[in-house]
Amino acid sequence: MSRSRTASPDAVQGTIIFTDLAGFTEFTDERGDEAALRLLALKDKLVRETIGDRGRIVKNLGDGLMLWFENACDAIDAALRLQDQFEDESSVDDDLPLWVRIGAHYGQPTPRGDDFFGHDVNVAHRIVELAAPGEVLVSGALAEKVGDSLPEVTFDEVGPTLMKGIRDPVPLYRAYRAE
Amino acid sequence: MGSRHELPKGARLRVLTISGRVNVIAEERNDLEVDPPDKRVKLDGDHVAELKSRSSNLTIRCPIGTNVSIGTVSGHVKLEGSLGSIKISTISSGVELDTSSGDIDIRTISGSINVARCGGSCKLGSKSGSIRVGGVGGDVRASTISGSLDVETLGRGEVSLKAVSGSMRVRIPHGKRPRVRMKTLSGSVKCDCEQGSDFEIKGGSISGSLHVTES
Repeated sequence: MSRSRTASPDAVQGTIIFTDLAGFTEFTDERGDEAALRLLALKDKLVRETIGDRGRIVKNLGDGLMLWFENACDAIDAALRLQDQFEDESSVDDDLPLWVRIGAHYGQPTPRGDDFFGHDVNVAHRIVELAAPGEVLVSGALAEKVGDSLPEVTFDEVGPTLMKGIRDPVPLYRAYRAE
Repeated sequence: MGSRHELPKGARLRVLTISGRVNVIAEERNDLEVDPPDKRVKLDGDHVAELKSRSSNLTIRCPIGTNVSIGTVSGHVKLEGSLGSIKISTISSGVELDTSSGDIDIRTISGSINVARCGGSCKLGSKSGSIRVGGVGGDVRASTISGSLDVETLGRGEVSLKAVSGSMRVRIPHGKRPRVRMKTLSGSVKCDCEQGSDFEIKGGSISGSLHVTES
């Protein structure tokens, strides 16, 4: 089930993160477009404040975002801080449920303008589909890259995962801060 | 008759298949028996026995209490007997599990999840499939976007459920008094039992409802 894959000569190393706002369609249906825009604006503000200059928003995907970090530890730290922020905001205002799923992968995507493409982008996108609301789900490649550099972060193995359109199994881990 | 393979004591059985039916049966034995018999089982030290298959139906017999990890794209996963900790991820397979004495983490995008009994803690997630779990001894954390959630807890751990539009039902032992908290935009909450502080039930939804009832 495995085969070698060659990265593009222009490929760069780093972490790709996808976020997905669970239930956004239903929220829009319940509360209307204006409230939905307010929810998205709040989410985008929290993302910008949290990632600072450690990473960047690559593109907006409607109710989701694609993010890029050169440093794997910065990526994990930002993803976990984001989930904390989303939970805090949701607990303050019952009308703004920020149930965000986050998937992250370390690899070698190829830049295309401000965007990235390639196998590793596809893997990161598949990972977020398996994440639960409030969860940070990461690939084995990212967990390995971080290693012991963030002692407060635990990687709990979810198991090997086969993803649609991805030939090789991807080991997945749930990242969380040890309490 | 399948082929027989060594399973080091305490090793995790890991199965990867693209499609097809995977049937894992826990029974009184010390080794693995794999049917069809031509499948290779690769040992990774003493920790993991891995079996990879593309698209055939697999039946694997293993010792009672074996820890199992399964990754599939489609098909159906059925685990019979009493197993240890379970980790399953799948795109569209339905999952059926008899009994786990350990913790379980099962996630699927469109399949349904049906667990008869879980002695440890449960993490269950599906985007559109329904989730049903019985006799949970530990914490339960389950989420679905459009499917329904049905959880029977023994009342020893926290129950945390999220369903965007599907319904949530929690069944608790007679006499237990949970603290029920629900955050919802338009869903409803109904608790048939007296509330107290024995354990916590947290529900969240956009339009889904939560119903707490005695088993």
